[in-house]
Amino acid sequence: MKQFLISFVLIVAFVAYAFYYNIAAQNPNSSNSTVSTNTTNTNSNSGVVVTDTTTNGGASSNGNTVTQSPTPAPVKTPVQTPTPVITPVVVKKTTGKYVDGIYTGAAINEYYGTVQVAAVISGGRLTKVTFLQYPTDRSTSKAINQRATPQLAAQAIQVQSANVSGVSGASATSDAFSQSLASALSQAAA
Amino acid sequence: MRQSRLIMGMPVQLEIVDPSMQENYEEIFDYFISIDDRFSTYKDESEISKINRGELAKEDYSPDMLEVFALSEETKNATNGYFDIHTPDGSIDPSGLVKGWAIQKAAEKLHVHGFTNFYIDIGGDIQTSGKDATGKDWSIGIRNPLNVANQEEVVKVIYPRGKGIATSGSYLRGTHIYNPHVPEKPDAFLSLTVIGPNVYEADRFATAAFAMGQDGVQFIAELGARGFDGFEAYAIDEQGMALYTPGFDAYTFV
Repeated sequence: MKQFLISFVLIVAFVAYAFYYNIAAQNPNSSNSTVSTNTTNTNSNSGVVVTDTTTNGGASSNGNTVTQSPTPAPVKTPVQTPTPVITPVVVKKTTGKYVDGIYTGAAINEYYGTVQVAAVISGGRLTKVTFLQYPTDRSTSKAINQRATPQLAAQAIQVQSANVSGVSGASATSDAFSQSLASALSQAAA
Repeated sequence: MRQSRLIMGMPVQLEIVDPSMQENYEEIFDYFISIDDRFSTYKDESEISKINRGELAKEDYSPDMLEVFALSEETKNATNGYFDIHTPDGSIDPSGLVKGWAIQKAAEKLHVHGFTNFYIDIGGDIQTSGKDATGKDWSIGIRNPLNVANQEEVVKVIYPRGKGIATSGSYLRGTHIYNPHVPEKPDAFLSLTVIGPNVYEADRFATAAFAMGQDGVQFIAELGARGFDGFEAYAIDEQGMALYTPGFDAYTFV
């Protein structure tokens, strides 16, 4: 009878132990499996060895009994990349007499990438300039966006037909734009 | 009624919506002429030209000049040295700040006269107050810097609601803004428009932000953290792409 009781206690203890272990494995926030039930492990490094005296706060800095996976790698937030939009620029100025057609300008390397335009000549006049290439990587803008706190936004400009009280702005010819356009127009010259 | 004059080599536009007399317009135009006479580096007899030639002792500087110099120094400190009236050739050119400063002074003169609805524009640096002649919010377009042929083509409409607007860029007159730290660095943007608490604030920070190149828009976005509240920026590059601050959109609708 004594042996039976001892066996019984051992079996119950084993079952309880196994049961507890199971829960501990499922709940990474529970205390370490090797300690008694009155151990209150409030350390955020759950599942680590009892003598957790580390102060570095690193989730994976301790031994091999860690049941919680290390802090998940920071999820890379998608960087807002400007949609490559072909921006038609209508140049109304007539720069001479040209033969109708579509002319591709030279690809001009700027310090941030390549700019190439196509010129549309109709009725002997330059009626449209289209970007064939421009830097789509735009690493400089990306870099700004990545470290931005507050996050900047980007968009392709669109001509508005609004009636406004006044206009604020600069106007300039870009060197790369001008060079590629000049190259296209030289081909179109009659 | 909108009236225009050519002062400082650029169009100056003034519209007083409230009942007013011609002398109210003349006072403001005369004020801008006096500012141009004092601060123009293109005029040999201007005070700034005399200072640059070493012909004027410091104790003879006008109160206006001393104020502009003090504001320039303060702006230089607020912009990590990117705003600097000392040009590479050793002369002093405060034009990156004087325009906005003068418009702001003119706006204060109009307020003193009791006017609350008006529009002042010098070469695209604009201060509005109140409502336009139709009782609506003033609306300002950002010029398309890619369209050289049409100076009136706009790519964005801003409703400033009393705030000031200034745009810096590589103007047709030639680049007049340089990066004091890397003078030969190419411009990152064709134009950079700043909305600020008033046109003086917008002008001086637009000048500095443009000189910063790619970092200029971020600089404006972080001005609040430096104790300068109420700034937004919209910059346009050679590809027709705009980079702008998160709060900018709030000014794009009525």
